[in-house]
Amino acid sequence: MENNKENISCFQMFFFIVLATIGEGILSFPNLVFKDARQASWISILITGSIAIFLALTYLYLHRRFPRKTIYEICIVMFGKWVGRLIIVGYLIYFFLICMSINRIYMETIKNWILTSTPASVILFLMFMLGIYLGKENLRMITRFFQLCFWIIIFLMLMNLGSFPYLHWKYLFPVNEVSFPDILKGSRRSIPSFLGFDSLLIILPFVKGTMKSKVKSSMFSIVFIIFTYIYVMLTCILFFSSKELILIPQPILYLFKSITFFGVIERLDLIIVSLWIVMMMTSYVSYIYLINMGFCTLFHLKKRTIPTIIITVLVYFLVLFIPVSRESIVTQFKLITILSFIFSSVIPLLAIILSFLFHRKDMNEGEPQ
Amino acid sequence: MMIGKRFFIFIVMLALTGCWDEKLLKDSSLVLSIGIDLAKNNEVKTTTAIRTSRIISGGQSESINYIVEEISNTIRETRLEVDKQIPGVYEQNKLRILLIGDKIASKDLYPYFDVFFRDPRSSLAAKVAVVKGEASEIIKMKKLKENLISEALIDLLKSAEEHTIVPVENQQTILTSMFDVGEDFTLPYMEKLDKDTVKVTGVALFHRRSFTGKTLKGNKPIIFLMAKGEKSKDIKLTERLENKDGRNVKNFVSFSVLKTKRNMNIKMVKGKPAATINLKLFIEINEYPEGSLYGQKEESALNKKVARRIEKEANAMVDTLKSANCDAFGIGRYLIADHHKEWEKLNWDKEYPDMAFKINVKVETVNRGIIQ
Repeated sequence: MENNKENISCFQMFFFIVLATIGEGILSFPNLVFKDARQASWISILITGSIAIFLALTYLYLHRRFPRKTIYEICIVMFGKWVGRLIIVGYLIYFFLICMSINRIYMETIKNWILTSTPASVILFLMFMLGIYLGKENLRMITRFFQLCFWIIIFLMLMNLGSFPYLHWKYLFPVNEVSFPDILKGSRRSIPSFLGFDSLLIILPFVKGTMKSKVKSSMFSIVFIIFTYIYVMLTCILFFSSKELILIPQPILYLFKSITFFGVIERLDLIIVSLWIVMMMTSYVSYIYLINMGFCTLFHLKKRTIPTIIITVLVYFLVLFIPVSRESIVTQFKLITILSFIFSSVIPLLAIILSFLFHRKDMNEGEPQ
Repeated sequence: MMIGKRFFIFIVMLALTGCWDEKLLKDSSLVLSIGIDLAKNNEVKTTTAIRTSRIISGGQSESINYIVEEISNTIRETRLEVDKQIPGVYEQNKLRILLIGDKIASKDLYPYFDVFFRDPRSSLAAKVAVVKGEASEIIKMKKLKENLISEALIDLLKSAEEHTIVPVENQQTILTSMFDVGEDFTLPYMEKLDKDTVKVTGVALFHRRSFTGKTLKGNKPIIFLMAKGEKSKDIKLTERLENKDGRNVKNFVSFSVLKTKRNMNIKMVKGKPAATINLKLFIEINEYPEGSLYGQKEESALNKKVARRIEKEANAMVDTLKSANCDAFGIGRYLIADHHKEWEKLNWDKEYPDMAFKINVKVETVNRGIIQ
């Protein structure tokens, strides 16, 4: 088969989902969620996580009805040629905005924490090169690289254990003093860090394996993500007092900045930032891949080099030249949250409902193996 | 395709040529210790010990210290002033120790710490201590018992930490307590005794963000830290036996604490908090000039005597904490967590000095050395 190289196994899908999701958010989400949900922040994450699980199940159901089609192709089938294409363009803009925000967060964090006097253009250039280098590859290649990077997450979690002697368990209580609306507000703020699992919509047709193992693998990956986030959130709550955590935009880095390991090893935040760049890059690359697939569906392209270059160049210059203020970042954040609501939940659900109403299924291509 | 790849490699190599952020050790002046004092008109005086090496004969180099003093409006401003007068770039990322004069410590401390917390390059693992009088007096000594001042001070504090005389704190842990309503922090307290002696004499008590002027001295810091449940390698105490006055050697017993067990109970009695700490010490007798420890009876009698003695000191220590309004045991935090409704009605600053707080001590001898 021609797109043979596109196929990955269910086992590999786990790595793709985890690394596409965990990335730009992990440094800053404890601060954002904590602002509203306080000591009950972990409940907020649990709520967002369960929504993610529910959505993933709907994606899998959609996939069962259209086993050979990505969401782009499903859109064209379900909403007609023109509306479908419009929706695809919407998806592309949405993914593109996420790419931009990843690059912006990357640039600002590196500039604030390590390379204070390096020009932004150079810092962004590194991400730009990596984007082209890996983004134009096929799914299998990307996933194999993700598989390697996965161990960074495990490493980071092990490093977090170093904070254990400094934790104050009493910071976690009283949980029942936080009102439920505040918990919900907190979970809304954690949405951007959960984005990435929606790549299921596009990669599912390329995953080999039975429906059951696909469900298992995707569920396991989301549970892993929830577990990682709650673990990070808890160490941050227990390490910092409440007022301090509100002050610190990147709590994880601050935590490592102040711990000394074995009496000699200090300033691990610098190493953490360097490792985190890899995680950012995997998220970025996965979005480039998603956009590429959209481009290919839209223009019936075979090669992905040209769209990749267009995306990366656009991201590079837009991030570099659009001036940033605190407010514009907040607006971008809100925009992404709203768009994610439309594209990650409304449209897939709508597609399912329509396919029910019109009894549309991929009949001619048979049941999934 | 080959040309494309070669071009790509060429572009990538451009990224390897250099670095804007390189900071060479030879260009930098490492700041290892800083002393902060209050100057006239609310200005800040910083005394900075800077490390460089001087090449002596035969290519060998010797580490030397020099001291720069500057008075300005803020810490950051004094740093700029210092940078103007030293060779090399001011590098604060190796800061090991921060001394605070007691006058400036009595004010709100956060404004003086902000610059350390905000700078990405500063290491927050620097130790902090309060000094009786001027911090600059100690830094200006340049050498302490033939060691360079920064190293000497660090060693001094580290050995005090090991002997459980002072709490283990650094800039970061203080920041956490500064923002925590439910717990106050304590810092090592140092004094310059004479021309070339500096001694860690106890623990300085803080309320919220400022030094209360009250300290724990003698055996009290050790008892305080044991009651707080801090673990340490080496705790040694010498206590006077009860009912015996005078400076006779026979009136004392020395022992090491091998293990401690403590639990803290906090109850609400009629809307008011009441705390008890039960502390059990497992001790090893190091010196007992009285000499008679051969029977079970004598041993348990000694245990009781020592326990009563420590209990008395512990409760005196609690009174000092209360009079300083320093909630070093974090009772407030327990109340926030477990009795939140009552906590909200309390005026903690007023309630704490009058609350019921008792420490009960039990002692068990597990080792008596190699004679009975």
